[in-house]
This record gives sequence, structure tokens and C-alpha cells, in this order.
Amino acid sequence: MVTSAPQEAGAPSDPLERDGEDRGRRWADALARYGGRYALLFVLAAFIATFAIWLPDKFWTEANFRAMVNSQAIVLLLALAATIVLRTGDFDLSIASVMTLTAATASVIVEDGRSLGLVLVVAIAVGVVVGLINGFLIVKIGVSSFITTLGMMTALTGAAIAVTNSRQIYNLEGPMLAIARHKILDFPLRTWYGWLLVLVLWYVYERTPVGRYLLFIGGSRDAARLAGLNVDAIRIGTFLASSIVAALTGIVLAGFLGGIDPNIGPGFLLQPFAAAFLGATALHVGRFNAVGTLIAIYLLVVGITGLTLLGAERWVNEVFNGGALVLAVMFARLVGRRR
Amino acid sequence: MTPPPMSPDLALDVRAVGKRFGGVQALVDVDLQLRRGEILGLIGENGSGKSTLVKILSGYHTPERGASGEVFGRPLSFPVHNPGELGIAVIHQDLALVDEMTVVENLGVSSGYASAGLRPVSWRRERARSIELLERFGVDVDPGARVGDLAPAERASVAIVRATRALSDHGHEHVLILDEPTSYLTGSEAERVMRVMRTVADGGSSVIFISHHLHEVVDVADRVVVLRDGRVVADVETATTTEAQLIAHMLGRELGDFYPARLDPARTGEFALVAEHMTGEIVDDLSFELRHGEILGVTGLAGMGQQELPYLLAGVRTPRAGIARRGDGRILGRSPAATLRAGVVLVPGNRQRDGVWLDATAAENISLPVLGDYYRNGWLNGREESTRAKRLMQTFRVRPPFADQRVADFSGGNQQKIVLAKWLQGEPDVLLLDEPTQGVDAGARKEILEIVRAATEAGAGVAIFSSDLEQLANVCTRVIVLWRGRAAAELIGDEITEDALLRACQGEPALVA
Repeated sequence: MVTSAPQEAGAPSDPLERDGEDRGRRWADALARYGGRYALLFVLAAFIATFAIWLPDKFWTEANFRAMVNSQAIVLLLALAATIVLRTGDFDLSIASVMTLTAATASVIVEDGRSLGLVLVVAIAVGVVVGLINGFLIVKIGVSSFITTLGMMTALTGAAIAVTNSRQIYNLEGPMLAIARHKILDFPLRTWYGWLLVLVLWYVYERTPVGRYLLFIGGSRDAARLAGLNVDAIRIGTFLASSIVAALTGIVLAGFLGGIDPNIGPGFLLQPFAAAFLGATALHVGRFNAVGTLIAIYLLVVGITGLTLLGAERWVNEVFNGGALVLAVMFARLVGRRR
Repeated sequence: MTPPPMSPDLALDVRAVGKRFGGVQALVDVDLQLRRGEILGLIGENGSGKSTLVKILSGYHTPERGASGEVFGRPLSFPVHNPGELGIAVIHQDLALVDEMTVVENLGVSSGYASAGLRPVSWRRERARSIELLERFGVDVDPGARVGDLAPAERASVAIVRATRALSDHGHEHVLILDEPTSYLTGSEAERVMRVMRTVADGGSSVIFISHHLHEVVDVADRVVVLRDGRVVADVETATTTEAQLIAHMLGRELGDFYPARLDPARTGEFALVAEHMTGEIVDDLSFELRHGEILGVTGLAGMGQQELPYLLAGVRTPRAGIARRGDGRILGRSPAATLRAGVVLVPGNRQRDGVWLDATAAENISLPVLGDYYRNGWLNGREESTRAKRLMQTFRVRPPFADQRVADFSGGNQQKIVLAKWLQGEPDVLLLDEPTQGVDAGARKEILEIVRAATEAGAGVAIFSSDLEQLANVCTRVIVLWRGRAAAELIGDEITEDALLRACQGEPALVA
């Protein structure tokens, strides 16, 4: 794309924007044209190369790479769930709590010696109910998605604590553990679920009309409606889908941990969103997408792991994730302005 | 072209302004002189460089080396920093008013409410000052009213008064640049704004007025500068020129007729659309038929219902009563989707909000209503989508026909052609067009109307909902004039003149057929 194509001979449409120095503009044009889409991949490669040279014994090992990839399995699933709703221009902040709640119900059910089938039924029911409540309040009543799902998040955190009777549950045994831990090609299933979901969402987002519809609803709701899309139904559908994915992630989490600490939810709130926003700066710039999110997750974990191995303290984790979220949004804005 | 020597009578004098964007030379060696107390019309097609020139004066763009300028004899250096202090203010189409605040609050905001920092604002004094200003410029609005509740013409007037006040606060003469403040106003509303403009100029301000409506420019401006392809191609007194001459300058050729020839009202066919007792917020128990092969105009003064009617018919807004059906009896339904299935398309008036998503590519926007066609065997065929979009863009004369370019990067006229391509690709039976040529230059307007005419000749039933009487008078085979939501007059064929429409619009209910 010619970045300064003539719209009133190249005038950008945002009146607050100045073009500044022409040299800066050319540089940014070139970056936006050639670098923009793949910038995140370059940064990931640069991180890996730097740490590999710096810490060949600790970082550049197969064990470390497996550990990094597997440690992000849950976050990847949640980040992908987040993109479903983000793509239509809404927020679903309740996903981490939905996950915690179903992890809690799953743990309690397994503790009681009941079947995995019941675990699955309860999880899906929780996902459907939460998704419908979110969707109804946001789409039909018109409450802001931010507020609705923030409230839902808090309420469900309470519900998770109630389900376990304020206990931490651990040392569960049985087939539920295998759901998360069984290995195929030396990777545990929980990691495969994330990769599978990347594939599914990539297909839906990039290769089906529905993926395009989500994008148009996020970009221009009125234009989407006038084009004959059933905007309300599709939006409610996205809240349902993200809640169900989050609910199933809860079972994986319970299997992975062998139980649940019902207070764990808020710790999973920010990182998926940081990854989703960062992912929107890659491949399809300005659009939430599945593969970009995957790259973003690995970029975050490589950065944090490298710094930790260099001797950084535990708090680096939060600083890095928080900083990445803000930087990602800032970067997306700058690139958006360049175009 | 050798510019005249700098003169003390000039408010603004810029020389040798050039600007390049990538490979496109947007402005070439432009000289512009604005006399004191003058209204200067600045016109040109979309992409001619008007906006770029304005944005250089407001400090938004930096011109190429070699440009020089003076404001009231003081040197102007580029890039322009703080144009307000130099006495230059630009009012853009969006007016930059805060809808939630009152007129008084809006009028004072650019002047710091005659206070500073955390020192208290005297609202009594602000109010008195506002009343005085509004009176001086002949703007009749309640100073306590919320700006969002004002009519569009009143909002534009408030924006002009505010800019004048902020500039006067700097204590010297000033230049006011109005960038298409009237493009979304109907005739009588635009006149109100132009009266305010005249008062401001008579009060000593120097005004640059940019508009696509040539008759407004000819009416209000003292002098007109025409830009074409980034160069000044004409600089004429309005007293000695005509709209036709200005258009010839803008296009660099004669447009020929501004409009395609009117279709014969006799060669219409079956009913395409029948509305019965349609009632909405304004539209009141309105019944009419639209036939295949006719172009029906629906007009009226602002707020008489012509802006609401197409959205009621298309199921975007729910009517209080009434029903719309196709000629064969199929009901249009209660949603945009149902309307589309019935073969009826609505081309919305607010192009940037309802017509397209600016951040998506032309191809993505064009294919949206028919995206399912490109989804076969579980795969969206992007190449086919893009190829077909490109072909449509060529048919609809979108320039350049780059299917993968973002819609935001096209000019207004080309965006509108993209919207038409999006909606006309399925060859619908009924076309509802809400202000189809709003904010579009003369060349593109003619092309758009030719596209509409061709669709009509091919058998579509077309209804144009518009306040542009000149256009309606030239293209419609029949016009319904609304008065408070009801049909006040119906004109057919050669009865439809701009003058007759204007009289009917002023509400002479005696004309009811």
C-alpha cells in the first residue's frame, strides 16, 4: 500500500495529527510498510538471539524452551478467548474468573469422586450461563462491556471461593490430571490445546465470513448492521464463545494444578490482554488475530525468562506484562496513524 | 505567474508554497493573497490541494523549502507554530464543539473563560460576554442551551463566533479559515451561516471560505481562487464569473451538462415499492408508490421527514405504524437483513459512519454484503474477492482502483463510489439513496448520477432522499415534497424546477395533490 496515497493529496484524516519532520515520516513509512507486520517476530527473534548468546548454558537449552512453552499454556488459551470478544470491539474481563470457577467446580466434583462427564457438563453450563448473562446485559440492555464483565469477574471470584468453601484444593488424582498433563510428542496436552485453538481461530478469523463480520462489527457497528449482519446475535455469540473457552480452560487448569486455589483468578487477568493487544500489532496490524497472539505470548515469556535468568527478581514478571500491554497499545496507535 | 508586490492591504500573503506526499505533488508553487475584510472562496475538486493548503496555514503540515508568507505585514515562518497568536483560526467541518456543554461554556473555552489557571471564572461575566457576541454577529440562540441540542446551522454559527472571539482576545486583526462548514447543511441553514460569515467579515475579519457548493461561494465570496492538481488555475472576482466558468476551471475542461439528461417519466413500469401509512418520529401517515424505471425524489426543509423516511422503509428504524412492501406484495421486514433479502438496498447518507468502515480495505467493504459468495468448500477466496472488487471499482470509476487500499485513503467522491459499488453490485430492484452526492465534487457527482441513471434504465426503482434541490430538479422524474412528515406536493417531469421545488418546500400545503 502506498502509505501517503492521495486523499486530499495525502492529508491524513485525524486533525490532531501533525506530519512533523519529513525524514521521520519516511523512516516510519518504511517501517510501517516493511517492518510493521513482522516487527513482533523480529523482536522475538532478537530476544532469543540475545539471551542465547548471553546465557548459552541456561537459556539456550531444550529444557528451557519446553519449560517456557508449557508455562504459557493456560495464558494462551485465555488470550485467545479474549481475542474473540475484542475483535468485535468489546471487552470480556470475566474470562479469568470463569476459568477459576470451573476449575473450582471441577476440583470439588473430582474430590467427591464423581465422573469427568459431570465435570464437563458443569463447566459448559457455567460458560453458557455467564456468556448469556454478559451478552444480554451488554448487547440487549446496553451496559458497557467493560463494566459488566468487571462486575462479573468480581462476582465469579466470590463464587469460586464459595464452591470450594474457602479452601485450597490440591493433590487431586485420577484421569482429570491426564487431561492437562498427558504428553504427545513430549508436549503436554494443555500446550496442544492452545495450539489447536490458534489453528481453529486462525481459520475462523481469516478464512470464514464470520471472522470478517466480527471485524466489521468491531470497526463500524452501524455499517455492519446496514450490510444485513445480525449484529446483536453475533455479539452475544462472541460472549458465549469466550466464556465457554474460558470455562473449558478451567478444567485444564484444575488438571494441571491437581486442584485449585480459588483466589488465583485475578492473577490471570492482565497477561492474556497484554498478549492479545500485542498480538494485534503483528501480521494483521490493528486487528486482533490468533497467530499474532501466539507470537506475542512467546515474546513475553522469552523476555521474562531471559531477565529472570539474568538475575532479575520475581516482580519483573508484572512490570514486563504491564509495560507490554501499554507499549502494545501505544505501538498499535502509532502504526495506525502512519497508515 | 508573477505575484503582485506585497501590499499593506493584505491580511495574508503566502508565496511559493509547495508540498509533496511520497510520490504525489500536492501543491506546486502556490501563491495566495487575502485582502483585509474580504471573503475569499477557495474551491477545487477533491484532491486539488485545498485541504493541504489550509493544513499548512494551521501548522499541521510543513511546506517544502522556499515558501514564504506574511500575516498583516508580520512575517510568517514555516512550519506555522501557534497560528492563533498570529491571528489565524481554522474551523473544520466537525466544528470541534463540545455537545454536552452550553453555548456559553463553548464560547469561552478557547479564551480560558477570561480567567487563568485556578482563578475562578465569573460565569455572570461570561454569559454577558456571550450574549453580546451572539447579538453582534446576529446569531439567535439561547446562551444556556446545550450545544448538542442546537440546529446544525446554529452550531456552525457558534463555532464561527467562538473563533472570532478567541482571535480578538489576541488583540489584533485576524484571518478566519472555514473548511466546508456548510457541506452538511440544507439550503436555508447554509444561508444562515453565510449571513454570520458576512457579518464577521464586515466587522473586519478576513475570511477564507472553502465549499463544494459553488452557488454558496458565488453568493457570499468577494473573490474566488481555484486550485487544480495543486496549482492555482484561476483567481477571479465573483462579480465577473459564473458557476459554469468556475467548474470549467476546476475540471480543466467543460463538464458539459452538470447532470445526465432526465429520464422520460412516461416510461416507468410496475410498482417496485409501496409504502402504506408509514409513520415514524416525523414521518406522519405517509403513503406512496415507487415504480420500476423511475427516479423519485423526496425532499423538504430540514426536519420535515426526508432524512427519516429511508431508514423507516429499510427497517433500520422501527416505524410506529405503517408497512412497506414490494410491488409483488413481499413485505420488506423489520431489519436491514430482511430488507436486503427483499431486493431493496439503502445507501446511507452518513457515509463514514454507516456506509463503510474506513480502516478496512476497499475490497473488504465492497464484499461485505455478499461475502458468503466467496466462501466455498470452507474457505474464503480472498483473491476472487479482490479481483471482483477491482473490477467493480473500475466500473464505478473509483480512482485509483486499488482494491487493497484502505477506504480512508480515498477522497470523498471516491469513497461514495465505493459505497455505491458495495450496494449496486447485486443489481437490486429498489435503491433508496440518502443524500447520494453529499460532500462530493462536481466531476464525481456527475459520475455518480450517471451510475444511478444507468441502474434506473436497467429497471431499478430509485428513490433519492435529499435537500439538494438543484440536483433533484435535474435528475428526478417525480418529486414528493414533505411538510411535517406528510406529502405536501408532488411534481412530475418538466414541472420539476429548482424554483418550483423551493416554493413547495417553503410549505404551501395548499398544493397538496
